[in-house]
Amino acid sequence: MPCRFGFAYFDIKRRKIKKIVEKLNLGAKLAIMDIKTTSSKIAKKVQAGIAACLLPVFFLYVLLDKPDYKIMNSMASFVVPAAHMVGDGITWPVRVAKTINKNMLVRHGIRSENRELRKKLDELTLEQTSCITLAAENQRLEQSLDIVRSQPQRAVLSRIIYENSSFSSNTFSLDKGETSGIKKNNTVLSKNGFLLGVIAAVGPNWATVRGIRDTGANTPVRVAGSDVLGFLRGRGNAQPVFELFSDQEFSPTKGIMLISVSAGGNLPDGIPIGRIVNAGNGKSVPVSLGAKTMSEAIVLIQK
Amino acid sequence: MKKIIKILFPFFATLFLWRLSSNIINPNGIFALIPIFYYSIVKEHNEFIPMALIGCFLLDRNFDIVLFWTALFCLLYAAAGLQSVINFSDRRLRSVDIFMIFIGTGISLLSVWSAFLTASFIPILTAMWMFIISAVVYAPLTYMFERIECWTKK
Repeated sequence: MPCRFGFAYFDIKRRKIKKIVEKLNLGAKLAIMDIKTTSSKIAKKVQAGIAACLLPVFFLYVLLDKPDYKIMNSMASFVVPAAHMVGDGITWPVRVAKTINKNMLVRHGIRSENRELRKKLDELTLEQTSCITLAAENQRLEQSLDIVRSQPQRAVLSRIIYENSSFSSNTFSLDKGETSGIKKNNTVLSKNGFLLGVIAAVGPNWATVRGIRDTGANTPVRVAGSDVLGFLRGRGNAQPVFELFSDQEFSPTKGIMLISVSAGGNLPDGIPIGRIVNAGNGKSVPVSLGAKTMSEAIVLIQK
Repeated sequence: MKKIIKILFPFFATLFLWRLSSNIINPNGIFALIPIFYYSIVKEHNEFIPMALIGCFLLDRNFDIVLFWTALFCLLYAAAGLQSVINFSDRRLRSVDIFMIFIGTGISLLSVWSAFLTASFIPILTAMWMFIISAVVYAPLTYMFERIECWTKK
């Protein structure tokens, strides 16, 4: 029993001692923790103090190193590239994804752009085709316009009051003159539109016309439908002759139409004159004039 | 491995967000302030403080200013450590309010100065956008940081 008691007693004692020791250990642990937290708090305060001290340093630096900031720039010269290098290493998957996305967008953009460009190309090709047609038409119209420009603005119909058809000359007088706007060198046509001559002299109510048959008249003409030029030389009452061809290989044949050429003069371009009667001697061919009726004449009044 | 990740993650997060700056989503890499703030004020890592200063310096370079964010960070860090009235590290939603005050102050100062210099409202609008996007992104990003931290502790 005593042993048992003793055991029990000592057992209880042992437990108590154990508890006390545990309590003491706990206290020590708590004490250690307190020391740790206190030291960490102090360290934090010190760090915060250093950070606070850096503020006036920064302020002074900004004031003193202004405007070059040499220290900061020199620091940045190695900090920034290093940060870039590390940053590039970290962010490469994102940048790769970004680049792929960008390339896909660009590719899509190129495709749609290609489609649009093709459409535009088709439209432009069509436009070009129509432009070529229009240009050709424009050229043709310009040629016509040149004719129109050289054409008189208005025409005056007048009666032939006197005709002087001698051997060598061919002149006639008209009943209208300056009052009707007729001027010297105006072109005179027959009623059927063939060339008669040009105004040689003009008065208030009269005008004298030198006919193309006059010996003094040397009218520049062109073979209709070709570029062969020549001169129609008047021979009075005789038929005028077409000679001095620009093309030596030109072979005159019967029925070829001759038309006027302005040749820088007052004569309008393209007025029909007459037809070649026969081949003649090959160098000088007679021409049958188209102006038949001589009772009336049309005077083309130029600007 | 987890220990290494725990140590290196704040550095990499800062550089990652700084490097991925874009004009609209992450203007001038301003998101880099989130890990800087989180790992130096909310869940302080002592070894990260120099990196926080470097991060602020890099941000200053991006903003083309001298020691602005660095000085502001020092001011915040000093305020967090030297006073005991407000506990910066134990506030709601990982101290988002303190972060908003911090970033709002910085952006406001910069934008007002820019608006004054350029005589236009565009810097103010840009600053508003920067503030909004930073404040919105703060909570999910810091949540992710917290999760990673929990994972590294296991």
